Amino acid sequence: MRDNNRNYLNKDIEVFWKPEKCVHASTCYQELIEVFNPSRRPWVNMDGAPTEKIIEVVNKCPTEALMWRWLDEKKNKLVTAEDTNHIKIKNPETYHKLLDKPEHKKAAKPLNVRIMRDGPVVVEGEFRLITSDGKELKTGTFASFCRCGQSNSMPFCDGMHRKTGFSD
Amino acid sequence: MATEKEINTIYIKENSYLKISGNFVLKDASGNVLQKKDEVYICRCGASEKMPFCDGSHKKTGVKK
Repeated sequence: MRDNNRNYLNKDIEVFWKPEKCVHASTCYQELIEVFNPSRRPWVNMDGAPTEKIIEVVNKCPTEALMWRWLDEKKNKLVTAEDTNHIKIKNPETYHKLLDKPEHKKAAKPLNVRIMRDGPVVVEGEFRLITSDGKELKTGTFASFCRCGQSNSMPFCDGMHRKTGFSD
Repeated sequence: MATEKEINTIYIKENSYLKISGNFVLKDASGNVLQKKDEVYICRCGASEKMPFCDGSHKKTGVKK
């Protein structure tokens, strides 16, 4: 089921927004309207204030409606109880679930991408494949993509380059 | 945002190029490293003058998908 939860990023942190947890204490927009403005869409503007200020205000949210984490996982290990609304402090369960999601896992090894002579481009390693319409085709560990423009199973190679005489 | 690119992504642009971003090593068939950058655009139409990289030739020739 799709929830209404949102997340917002700047270069340092991710802020999580769970509307169903909000009790309208109003602290966030009273203290930092530049970032938290309920009459704007999106209502959170992460460029509206420095990271430290955003953290300070998110920590004042009395519920789990607003939580945050560092993008740098090393920093998340160092947070203390003072950071009341850090996701690890406020909701450790969600935090650990988050870490298990593939998009938050660091790719262990670099992708190995090989351009085959007069043939496809072969990719080995963990990746996700996305198309122009924003659809995630698959996450995979191996794929061979057409480079000759003639495949009948685009975007993948089907060997057509040999028939067409494709050459680099 | 560089911090968002923790997982390697392959993006297939329709009738156009293939973009690889993240942590990768690009080699030719003989194993020579061609590029070690954050992102690269690979030709998918077969007509680029700068193989294996995209040079925009697909606009003239067209790829099927």
